[in-house]
Amino acid sequence: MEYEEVLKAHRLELRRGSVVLASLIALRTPGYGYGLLEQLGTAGIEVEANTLYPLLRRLEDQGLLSSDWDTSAKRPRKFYSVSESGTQMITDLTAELHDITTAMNRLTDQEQP
Amino acid sequence: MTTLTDRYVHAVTRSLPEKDRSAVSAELHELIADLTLARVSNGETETDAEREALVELGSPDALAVKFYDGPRHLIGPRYYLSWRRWTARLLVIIVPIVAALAAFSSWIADASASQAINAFVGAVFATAIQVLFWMTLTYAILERNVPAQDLPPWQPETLPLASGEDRGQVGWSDTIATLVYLGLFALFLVIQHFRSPVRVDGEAIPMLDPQLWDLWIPLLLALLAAEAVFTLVLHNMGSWTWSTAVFNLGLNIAFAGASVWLLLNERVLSPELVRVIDEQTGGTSGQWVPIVMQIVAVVIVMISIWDVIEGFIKAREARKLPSS
Repeated sequence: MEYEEVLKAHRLELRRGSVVLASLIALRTPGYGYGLLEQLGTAGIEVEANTLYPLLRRLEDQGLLSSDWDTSAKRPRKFYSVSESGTQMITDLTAELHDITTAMNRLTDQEQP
Repeated sequence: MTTLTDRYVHAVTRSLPEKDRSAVSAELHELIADLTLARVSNGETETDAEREALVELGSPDALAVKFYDGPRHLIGPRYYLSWRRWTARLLVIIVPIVAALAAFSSWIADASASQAINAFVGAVFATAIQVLFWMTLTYAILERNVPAQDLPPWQPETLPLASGEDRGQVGWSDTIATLVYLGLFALFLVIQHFRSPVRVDGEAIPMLDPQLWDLWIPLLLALLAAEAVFTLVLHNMGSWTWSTAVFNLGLNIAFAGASVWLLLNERVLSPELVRVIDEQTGGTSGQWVPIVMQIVAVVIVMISIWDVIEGFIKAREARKLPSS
């Protein structure tokens, strides 16, 4: 397989988990799906609409997000916000990410004599 | 008038379960509207924007899969290889036997080679499709009802024998193959009488002499049962020993002895079948049928001798191993 393809696959694996944490963090402020999409994009998290929306549904099924419909505008829009267990999840996942980074640094230091 | 968006949302949600449809539909409408709006404010026309937004979202089937909660495959990674292995084994065992029976029965009925070949090919297709279907259905049901963690824990003792080593050991494939063979043979003995594949004028005629049911067929079935029990006991023991080799010798003597006696005394085939064969071959069956019986008898004796010898060889090989 070409290097670019292999790189793309591994980058995807690396980033896949981070979209969850990023979404949870961003939704500490309640937001609409599309707004979140733009917000993540601006912050540097690459995610496509057809990945994010099903993900938000799943996070809601897992109890990490709660949703509601905003009927004030001309067309109803669904907005999400992070729940209590979602907030806890942010703390736990951030710690996890930190541990991973620390481990990587340790390994890198060991590599260099 | 249904818009492109309506058609897209319908295409996505039709694959989803009833209960999710309205919710996903509403979300999709919102999402597409937002995407379209963003594009319009970038200067695209409304129609173009809508179309491009849908292209960006991807094919409806691909999107539906992302929204779908259940299993996304018929047979998953856990069971796939097992399904493939067992289906291949069953195909290789069952299809040739059934096809050969079909060809034989067709030849008996019509004495036409082309009809027999037709029957053979037809049986190959039909049997193969049946095996494939039932195996696949079984594994699909397993996939959905027995998640991997519910399976009994794997034990190293059930490992298959590495090829070429441990000839004295008894593995699952040996045992299962033997049991299947015994089962099919017993099945044949019973079915050939009640629902024989051989048909004359539309009526099924037994292949073996019905008088054999008085003594010999029950005796053979009892022997097959004894062999099945022996196979299971042997499997439990894990390897061959001198006593199992001797017992194997006894079973072979009994089975070969009974079969050979019946064959040489021309007690095997049913009178109707003999008559039919006679008709098909122009009255010459009296000359060559006994010869065929003798050949079969010789083959049975040779196979039995080989089986006995192999039993003793395996017993000797097993004794060489440090453990057991």
